[in-house]
Amino acid sequence: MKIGLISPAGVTTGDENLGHIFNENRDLKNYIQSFTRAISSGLLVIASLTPKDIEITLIDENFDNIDYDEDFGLIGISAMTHQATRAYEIADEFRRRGIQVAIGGIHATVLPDEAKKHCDFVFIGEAEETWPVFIQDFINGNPLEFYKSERLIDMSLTPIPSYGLLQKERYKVIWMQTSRGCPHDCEFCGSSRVYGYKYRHKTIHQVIDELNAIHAIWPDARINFADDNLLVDRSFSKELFRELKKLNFRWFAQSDISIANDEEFLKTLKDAGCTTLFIGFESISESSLSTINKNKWKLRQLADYSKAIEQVQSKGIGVVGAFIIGLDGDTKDTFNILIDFIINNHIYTPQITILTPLPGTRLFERLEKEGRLMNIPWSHYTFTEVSYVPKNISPVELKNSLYEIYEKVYSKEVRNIVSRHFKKIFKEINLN
Amino acid sequence: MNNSNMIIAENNNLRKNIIKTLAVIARINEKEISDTVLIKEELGIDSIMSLEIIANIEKHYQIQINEQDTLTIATVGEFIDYVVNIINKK
Repeated sequence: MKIGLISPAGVTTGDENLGHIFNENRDLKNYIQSFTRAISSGLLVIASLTPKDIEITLIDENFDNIDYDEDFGLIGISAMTHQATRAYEIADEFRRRGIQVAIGGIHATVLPDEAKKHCDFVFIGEAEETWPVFIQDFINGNPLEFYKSERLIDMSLTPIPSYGLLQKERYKVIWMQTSRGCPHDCEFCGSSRVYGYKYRHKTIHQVIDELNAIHAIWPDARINFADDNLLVDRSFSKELFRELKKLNFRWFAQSDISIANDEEFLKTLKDAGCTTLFIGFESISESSLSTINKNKWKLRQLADYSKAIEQVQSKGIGVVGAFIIGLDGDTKDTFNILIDFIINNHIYTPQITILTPLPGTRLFERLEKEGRLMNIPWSHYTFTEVSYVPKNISPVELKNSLYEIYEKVYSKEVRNIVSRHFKKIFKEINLN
Repeated sequence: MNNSNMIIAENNNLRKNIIKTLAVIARINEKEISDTVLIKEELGIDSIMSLEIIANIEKHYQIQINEQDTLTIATVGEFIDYVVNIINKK
């Protein structure tokens, strides 16, 4: 039997003006391409969980055309919300030809009944334990319609993703996951609801084996860590850094501002090859930040934002500063203050997104209750389009504000200032 | 050694040093770096690594590089020629 594993094409933005800015600015284009020209490791894990006598064809729709007439015995699709519309089109097309389709990933996990309308088998939650059971059921001719992971899986049992299925020359950035779970419970984020609040990670030996597997294929790869927060467990991080340094990888990770106070840790990060660090600041408005976490953790960090950015960037690590606009405390004035904040703090890669009520999140539930959700296709859930009724401004104003912010913080003048700032930092560090 | 031979020898040293800087900062094996290799697409050198490389070269050779000029540079060879040209003009 041959299984086709498909990663549907994603949409960067449906906004033409914004698309132009994304395309014209080299720094921004590089950053966006590190996501759009990469593939998540989910399908590669599924491939590793599949018995070796089953042939696997991996189809990354960002590069490949789908041949619907290929002799597949089964199709597997993994999709996030913005890919869901396309995932269903693909599934419908295969099913018209009599080929059965299984779907998993975050969107199917939170909306399994919707996914079932287009697919034969739906995976809810992590698939490490359910996929092997399903394959056996499928071969025996008695598969179930839903496969639900009844518990958070022990990550030490996760196999090394089948990186060998990827065409080597296509991918310069390799996404890797070492942990799942996040304690923060942000209203807009579905991660903790899907992966739980408890931080779980692979063993250091697993991670080392996985890094070596990547290194054997791409000795000069850049690793992007997909973990919500790679640096939660410092002793684990330090062991990881030692290996990353040994293999001479350059890498990107997500974290939070609590790492900024640890001067020695930041130096070790840089030394281990970290080039950029994603930090979710979300907002610089007190009223907006107060709505995000139940425990107001982000709000309590606000006073330290500038200092934290300076501390991280002074080590030669570029901050990818993530901000959300359209939170309920936001007004038009908030956006002007945000522009000044980004410029004054020389944030290397500002990432500004429109608040997006992803299904499965507390935000989605609240806005649905308040009757503020717009009925638009999932393909518009790109984080650059408005899918709900904002509180203090109109949807058009919000959309235009995103464009204006990007235009200002990525203007040639501002980027030159940022470049000069970083050149000064690198000269001071004097790595030679 | 006559003047033109000295210049060639100096330029060869420059080339070696620039390639070494690229390799160290971008964490790439020097053997992978040749004149025809594409900086972004093949070596995966992104903008922050580019700035670090430029800053190191500026500091080492006491020159000024305008990043805007480097935006159109595609290959390692073009970058080296650009830097060598600035140094020789000093």
